[in-house]
Amino acid sequence: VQLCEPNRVNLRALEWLKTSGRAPYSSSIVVLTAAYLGIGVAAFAAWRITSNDAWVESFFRIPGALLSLFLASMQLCFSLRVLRHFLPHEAMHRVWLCIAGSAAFDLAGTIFSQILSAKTLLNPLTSTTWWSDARGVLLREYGLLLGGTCRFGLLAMALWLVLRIFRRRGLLARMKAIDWLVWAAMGTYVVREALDVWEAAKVRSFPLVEIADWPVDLLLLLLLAEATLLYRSGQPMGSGTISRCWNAIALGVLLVCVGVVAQWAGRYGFLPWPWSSVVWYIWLPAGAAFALAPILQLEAIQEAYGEADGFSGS
Amino acid sequence: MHPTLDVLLQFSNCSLGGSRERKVEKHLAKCEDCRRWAAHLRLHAAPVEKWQVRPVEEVLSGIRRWAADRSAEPDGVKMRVAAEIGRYLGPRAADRILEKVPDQHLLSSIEPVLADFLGRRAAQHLVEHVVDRAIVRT
Repeated sequence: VQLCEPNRVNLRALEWLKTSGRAPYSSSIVVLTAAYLGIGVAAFAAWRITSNDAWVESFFRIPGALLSLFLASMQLCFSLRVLRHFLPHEAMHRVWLCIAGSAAFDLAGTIFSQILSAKTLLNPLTSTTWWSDARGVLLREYGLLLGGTCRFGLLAMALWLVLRIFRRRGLLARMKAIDWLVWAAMGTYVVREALDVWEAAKVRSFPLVEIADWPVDLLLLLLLAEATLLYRSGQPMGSGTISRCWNAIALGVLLVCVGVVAQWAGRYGFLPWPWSSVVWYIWLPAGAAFALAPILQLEAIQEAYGEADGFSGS
Repeated sequence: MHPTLDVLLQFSNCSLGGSRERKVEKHLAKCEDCRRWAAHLRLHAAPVEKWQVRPVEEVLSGIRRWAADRSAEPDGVKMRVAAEIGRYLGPRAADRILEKVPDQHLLSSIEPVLADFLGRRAAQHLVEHVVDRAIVRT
């Protein structure tokens, strides 16, 4: 026993090092986003009390844009790290390749639509003669295309591939009545939006970059169904580390859908001002949920390695 | 037909003997999966002098406890394996996957599922750990 004691101490020290060295990225993302939302709510309250728009505008133009950029970077960085854990012939390799591609489009879209298109301190282009307000608008359009159709197209493909894996393993669940109801509501929005676009297209022409972004609502409808199926499939599995990643993506998709519909409702006066502005805050937790997904997947993989090496906390 | 875990453990510990040992040897020559598990079990059962502890005795008493548990509770190994992988797949999914799997196919059934979600390399590490925790050290 005496011979073993020092080893036990060393193992405990290693265990502590291993667990403390394993940065709790997922918790950091949650805390950071919650702190940002807290500041955002304070800015919103200050705006309502003082009637000075600058409170909210400043929050979204610089700190909000920085958080979106950070979250998109985290999503890409961790998706690539997860991708490395799957061999090219494995089914999940294709899934994470699509998710990493989607994250790359999200990052590019964020850079274009929130940094390069705005006249802020963050935009290096504003000091050049090339940049103008009109170019800013164009850059925003490209950003929306990259962060819309391109990003969600790849994400829809990734979730489709994951659902195939769930089905192959007999873990695929069905949608419940409430899910169909939510999906039908989203479908109604998509049809309504398509009709509006159809009407508008009759009286004016649209630039190609804007036309290319039209399928985004349809993609979101598809994503909502996929995300719901993933969530419903994860529920009967019980609380395992694997389903957390897919739950995070499902939450992200749901928040994006809520944001898009609420924006539309605000535009058409169904959601009165200033409450419609609350919608702006949805994009931050949505971005956090998408960033969390690869982090949770990586934590599950690391835990599997850690468990095998005998560094489990249990 | 694959040898059961019980037989593989006895074989790895050189306590099988006779025709049963030759039968297992023959099977291992053909079956890569079983060869891998036998090698892993042998690794755990092998005496390592420099440790100055008694790994073989520990493993043997583990086997005896496991055999006793098994006769008292036929699904004991399965339940322990389910508890180990339940942390990853979720407890109910683990139960569902292992529900209809016979003991001798336990490990070859869970590894592909874990590999799907965690990657082959992480799954291999994890399954080795599961063997260690749920079978060898029980």
